[in-house]
Amino acid sequence: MRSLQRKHDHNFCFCSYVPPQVLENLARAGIKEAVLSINQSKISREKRDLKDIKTDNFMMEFTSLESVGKASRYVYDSKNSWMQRVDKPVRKEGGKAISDKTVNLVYDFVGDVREYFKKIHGRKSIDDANMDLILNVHYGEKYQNAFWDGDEMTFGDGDGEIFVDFAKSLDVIAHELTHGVVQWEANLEYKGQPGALNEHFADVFGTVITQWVEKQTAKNADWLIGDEIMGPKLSGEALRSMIEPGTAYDNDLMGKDPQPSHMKDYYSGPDDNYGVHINSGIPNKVFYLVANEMEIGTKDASMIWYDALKNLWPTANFNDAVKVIVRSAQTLTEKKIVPKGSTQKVRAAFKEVGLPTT
Amino acid sequence: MTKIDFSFSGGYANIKGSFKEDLKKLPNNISKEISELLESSKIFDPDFKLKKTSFFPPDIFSYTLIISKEGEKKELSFNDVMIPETLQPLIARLRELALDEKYRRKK
Repeated sequence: MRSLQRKHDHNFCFCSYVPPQVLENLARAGIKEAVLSINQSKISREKRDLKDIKTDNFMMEFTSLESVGKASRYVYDSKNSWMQRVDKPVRKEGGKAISDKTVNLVYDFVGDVREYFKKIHGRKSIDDANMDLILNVHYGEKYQNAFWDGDEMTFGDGDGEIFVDFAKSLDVIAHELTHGVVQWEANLEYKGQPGALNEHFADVFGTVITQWVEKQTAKNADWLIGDEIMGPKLSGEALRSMIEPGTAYDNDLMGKDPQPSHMKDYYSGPDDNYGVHINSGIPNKVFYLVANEMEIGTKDASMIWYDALKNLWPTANFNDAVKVIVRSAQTLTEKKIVPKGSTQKVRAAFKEVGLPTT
Repeated sequence: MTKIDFSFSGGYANIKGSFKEDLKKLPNNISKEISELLESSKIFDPDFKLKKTSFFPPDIFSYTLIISKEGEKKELSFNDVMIPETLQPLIARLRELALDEKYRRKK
């Protein structure tokens, strides 16, 4: 079985003795061990549940066993079936490019994401323990989606009209793999404010990694998410705008972009798991303000956000995120990793969107 | 008489759509196609089961599907990782019809 241990599992854990609400309060107060205990306990439960899905295919588990531990890429071709890991990988780590363009794009983009986390944050693959990267392309027929399922990535081809091949966008791949990183760090629950933070971190590193690979700066980046997968029917549109949430699209098919950019417009309805892709616009705007308008720059802003991600916990809400991100800015300023004044700029950016709420 | 009431939402793009129709009212070719997909989905078989999970991965689609057929009614709520292989082709086609319907209605 793939190792479910996390890098901090050997650290002391008081999760068995302390009630969850007390642990959360300790996490809010910045007690690192409390954050680790909450995350460790939650991820173990979720992985046990997830394994139930796969026990009907012993060979899948067996393949997983073989490929652990080298941060290697394994690209599988689903051949438009609804199966993952069909036959053998069509391209493996170090293997030559093949005639399938999608396979090569995924291989290269996933390599970029892995390289970014390693070079900039010293992170070893998604789990920081050299987990292999299992990638399935051409999943299903006209499947208009890409997702990280807790273990591996899966890409649909799109229908060619509304959305094109999801594997052709670095934004998409970096976003989805960051969901994996979130799972192994804060493990934010996928609903309400924790879910919106989960989406936010995925959008942040989706755009940060795209800027890093394309050698863009905060000034000349487009700060759009999903623009590369729009098909002919939605040409020129995007899924989310970090510069101005709520302006990414306005068309007959999708309606109008519902993302708010301020807490006064916060969405509190039940759709979208209580707004995970909607309210993420609020912290997304903050990241853009910090990186660009307040001139910290994308790289330094990403250092702060990455540090914060490691100090958040599954039920963290927006106010918790403000505290933790500001605390990360303070810590990194003290260590001279980000420039003086970063803490105040981060606070000011949150203030612009109405956070923290009282 | 077979009635289908299908809706989906979510995904990386956070899209949604719905398709609600009596198969008799659809063009013959589509009605036949859906009937065949419904049959091969084995949804009314006594041993039909969705895959079990309480894990909800990010960016997957969520679905509701209600099928009424000759006095029988099947109501299901599920997500992408819970769909058995036999049901996948039907869901894919209904998703497509839901988006076609949305696009046609808005034009």
